[in-house]
Amino acid sequence: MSGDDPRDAECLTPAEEVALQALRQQTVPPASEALRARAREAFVQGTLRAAGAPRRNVVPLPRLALAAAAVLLLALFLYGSRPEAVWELARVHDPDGVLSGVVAREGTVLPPGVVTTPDNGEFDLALGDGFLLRMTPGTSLVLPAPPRRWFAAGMEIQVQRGEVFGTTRGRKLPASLVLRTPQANVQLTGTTFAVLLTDEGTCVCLLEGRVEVQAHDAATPTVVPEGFRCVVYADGRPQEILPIAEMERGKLQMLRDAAAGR
Amino acid sequence: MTKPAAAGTLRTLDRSVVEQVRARSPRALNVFFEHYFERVYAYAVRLLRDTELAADVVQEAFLRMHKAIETLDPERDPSAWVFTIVTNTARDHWRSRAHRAARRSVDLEDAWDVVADDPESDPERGVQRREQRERLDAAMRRLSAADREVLLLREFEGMSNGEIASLLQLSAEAVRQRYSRAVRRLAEAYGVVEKGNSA
Repeated sequence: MSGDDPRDAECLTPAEEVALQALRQQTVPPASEALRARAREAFVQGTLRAAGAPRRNVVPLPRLALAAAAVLLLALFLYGSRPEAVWELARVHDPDGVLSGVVAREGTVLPPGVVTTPDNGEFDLALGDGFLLRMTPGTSLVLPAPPRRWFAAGMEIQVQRGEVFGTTRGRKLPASLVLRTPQANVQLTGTTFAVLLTDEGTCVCLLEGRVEVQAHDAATPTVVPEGFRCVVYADGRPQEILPIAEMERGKLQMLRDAAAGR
Repeated sequence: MTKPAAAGTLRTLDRSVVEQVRARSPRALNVFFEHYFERVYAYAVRLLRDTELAADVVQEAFLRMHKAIETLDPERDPSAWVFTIVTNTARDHWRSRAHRAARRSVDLEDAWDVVADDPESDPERGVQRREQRERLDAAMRRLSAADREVLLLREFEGMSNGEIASLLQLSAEAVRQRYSRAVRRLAEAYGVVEKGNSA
């Protein structure tokens, strides 16, 4: 890895040199062997273990929880066999299962309104069988009321903070779906995407499908190509279209595969 | 120009090893892990200033790497991929309300002392080292997490502005400005704490 960069020619003051020298000389205490072993296990085997806890698999759920979720989902299906779809908690990636300050289990029906994920939990929300939304830790959004007929009318989801990843499972939506952020409106049709709110602004990543991003102060929307991301800066700088970062591409692919039941 | 301390001392892995890592060869996975573990841990500790939180982040980051292994590109130095995942994991944990409330600064002080205190060394030098560590730790805490990210990636991982820009999804110019700001603020905070101690 090279540190050569024409713009790296910084002129440091004596005080800055002293501070940097102190920083460089500071050594880090070595990691414990127990941590090294746990981290190695996580990387090589894909299992996560708390200090002193027995090994447990992160991805597969216990059979009893799966069976309970299946029964609950079946009951909800029978109860909700009316034409309208509901917002449902499809999957919980959180040891405590706390959503918006209350304990929530898979299959829970969520009413319209503000939904907030805890700072250490990730949740998947499904609307019918056509749309899956993944909320990462520390995310807050406003769920709209579901349409009477599946996507017959437009829907707007307000993303207040954090990150959401979504997929329409490869299906073309008959009606419009818009995600609204403090900087922009993101219009989606049959898509696998991510909307990330950072200090910089709003970043919309598109793995596949079609999205249009329109900043609140823009006259026309910007079409985002597949495999690219659109950044709408909070400080008013011109928008940028850039390739999707590796990390986001991986997350989107995993979401799409999970939604397809692979 | 003052070059980053780690420049020229970091070796990348052979492409063949990275390809075997993508194929999930146990031997290659262990080689890859040993190559990066200490660097990842040191980066997490310096970034988060909390050894317990850093341990959580390191474990979670390596698990995320396991899940995202197919996105590793054998054509590129894997360091950017590794530190992208570690940085994003740290950000997720940093946003945790519980950790913001706790801010276990004493934890890091104690950890430093376990390493550095040598009963046979000169006591006066030991006191000076401890004071310097405390000044530096206090100064680093005054920086934002965003400033620390750029500072640490430049100083300890030897990354260029362009490489950091790609990792953090910023422009190279934004990285340059952030680095300059971070160094300036570090120097100001380090000098202020030093003046405060000598007052």
